[in-house]
Amino acid sequence: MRFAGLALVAFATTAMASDHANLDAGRPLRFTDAYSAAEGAREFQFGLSGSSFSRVGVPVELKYGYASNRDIAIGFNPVLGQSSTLNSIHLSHFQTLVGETEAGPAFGLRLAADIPFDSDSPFGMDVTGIWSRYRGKGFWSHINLGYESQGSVVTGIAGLSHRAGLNQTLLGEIGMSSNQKWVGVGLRRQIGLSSVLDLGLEFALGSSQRTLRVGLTQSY
Amino acid sequence: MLIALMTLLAMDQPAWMRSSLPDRAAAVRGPAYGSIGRIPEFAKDMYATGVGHAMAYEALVTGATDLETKVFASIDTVLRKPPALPVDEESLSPRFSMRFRNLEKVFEWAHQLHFETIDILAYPGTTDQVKHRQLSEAWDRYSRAPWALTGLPMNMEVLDSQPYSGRFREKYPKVNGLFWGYHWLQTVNYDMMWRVPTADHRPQYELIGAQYRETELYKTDREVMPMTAEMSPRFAKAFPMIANAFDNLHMLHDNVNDILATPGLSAADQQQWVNDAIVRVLASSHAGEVAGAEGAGIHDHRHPPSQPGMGTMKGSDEDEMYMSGMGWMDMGECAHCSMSMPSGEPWGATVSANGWTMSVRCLLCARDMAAETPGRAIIRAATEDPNRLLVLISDEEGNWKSNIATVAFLESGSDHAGCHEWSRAYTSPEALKRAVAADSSLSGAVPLGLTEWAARVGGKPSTYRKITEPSPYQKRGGVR
Repeated sequence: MRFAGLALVAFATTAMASDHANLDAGRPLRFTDAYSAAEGAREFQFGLSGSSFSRVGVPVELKYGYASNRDIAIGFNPVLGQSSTLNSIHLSHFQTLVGETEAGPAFGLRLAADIPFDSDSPFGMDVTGIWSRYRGKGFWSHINLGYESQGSVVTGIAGLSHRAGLNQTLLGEIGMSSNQKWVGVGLRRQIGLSSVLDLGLEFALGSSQRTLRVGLTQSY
Repeated sequence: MLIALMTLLAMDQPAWMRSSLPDRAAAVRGPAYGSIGRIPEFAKDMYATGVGHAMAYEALVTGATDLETKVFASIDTVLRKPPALPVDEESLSPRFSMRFRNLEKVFEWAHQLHFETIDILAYPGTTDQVKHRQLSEAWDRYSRAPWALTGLPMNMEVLDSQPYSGRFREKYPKVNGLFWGYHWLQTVNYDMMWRVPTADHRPQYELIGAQYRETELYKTDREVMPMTAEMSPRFAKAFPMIANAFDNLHMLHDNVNDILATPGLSAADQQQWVNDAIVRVLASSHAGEVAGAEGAGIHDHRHPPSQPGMGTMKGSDEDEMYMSGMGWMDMGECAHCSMSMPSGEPWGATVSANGWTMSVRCLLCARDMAAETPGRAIIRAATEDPNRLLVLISDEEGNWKSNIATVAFLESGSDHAGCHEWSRAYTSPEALKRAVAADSSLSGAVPLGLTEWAARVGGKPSTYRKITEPSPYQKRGGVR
């Protein structure tokens, strides 16, 4: 039996409220905002993803706010199923370089590397610039512009987030890269002092593929 | 004219104030983290104070003209149905946060100290001695940030005598009442928990929460903001640095409110004035200064001799200060009999009723002072066991419930001057009898049970003296 795609992701932030409003790539959409994890924050991410029940990805990430406005993360994305694989370790560094002011947007920079376990697989790096801007009435816009060394892929995402109520953020995005286009909608909802539930649905444009992401954020 | 004056008075700002970066720091995740949730109604009320702050500030910076009506009603809705989880204030007040990034850092860091302090006190897994150490560590950690507020007592009259002071409370008395109500809650809770068994926190909050939600939030006749040492005198005495920092935080809130209520200011003027208000109370602005020292202006760090956890108040003299709703009080004396408070342990008792908390020197004074006040009351009193604090909570009819089922009262004297010697609480009749056996001046005293003790309500002792000076906050026939 096939299904459109499922990702279950669990995270953790140490900051009070675990912060449904602090957006990160994959939680539950692809775009991030321009803000790093809080200094001293330790985050754990766990999830499930895949295009069918027979092949399910289990992304796991640990994130640490090692300094003011900076975080580092290490992640894995093993795939479980008939032919289980663990392809690579994902390392990333995020830094907020400019905070938002009335004069201009916030800006952050993410550097990431995929280190393959298999020596035959290519080593990849990517760099992403992120701009976030408040637009009024609880809406923020986010632009993510990235370049991946592997395949020389350029990716652009325009994201929108909206604080809905006291403990919930709604998200939407439209993205395009050299080989795909997609739109997505999502929700981040505070469900505990340190827990955030993520729900996201992504539609590939030009194909029938859909991806559902369900995540849980838990501080530790 | 006002803008020119403030420009002349502009203060040097530390380097971190020139950064737009958020510099957010995570809360410490010790075993106590989230223990506020053990008192669920308190937690929710505390979370709602953050929402109230944020909504009012966002309305102010976006030019809302309906602060006393529509905005007040929106905030009130949240306060009446408070959130069950903490709320990210910045996402509720993005315009305010963008304009006042420095202030946001100061507020967030100090609010984090509020919650960390509460979590430590509410945590059931440690002793009072460990909590004392943890609170000291929390304070040290807090103090290391460049945006930490000073823990020195500040001259509140100086801080509240800026050219813009008082504008907010005059223009928006209802919303100002909410702010002072939040600050009442944020200061009253520490004595509810400090050295009080955790099992006794929730029963107290039933009374405190009702007072907060029904009365304190909606007071518009309070003459000055609530001070930590007024609401939690035992905690303020034990942790004067933390108490002072909270008072300095709350005064900074008042300053900011007043600036935002001042008409005709550009965003840049507001930022400059707010930054100046921050610098006045930053720890770095008072490096090397010491509590108790008399200095000029903002460098005056005198405090009442008997209360190191409070700065000099308007019109105050040594231990005498004017308390809103109570009038002039002497903090070195029993609020009921005016006799000097005994030094050292046991420390006597406090009485909380009708929104105030007063220190008294004996159980008789505590009981009779509570009886004089309509409504419910809480008495927190020392016993012979320094690790067992007596908590008495009364109902509307004055019937008391004790957290120590075997409590026994000593009340054997007649000369009130020695009341702290012969009016005390013990954890059991046996403990009382041992004390009587060891002290010949108490010979013949018999243990009183709670009901018998409660029935002995008397009047004001002959030693009581009322200070009848007028309020220093009255100006031109009204509250300034």
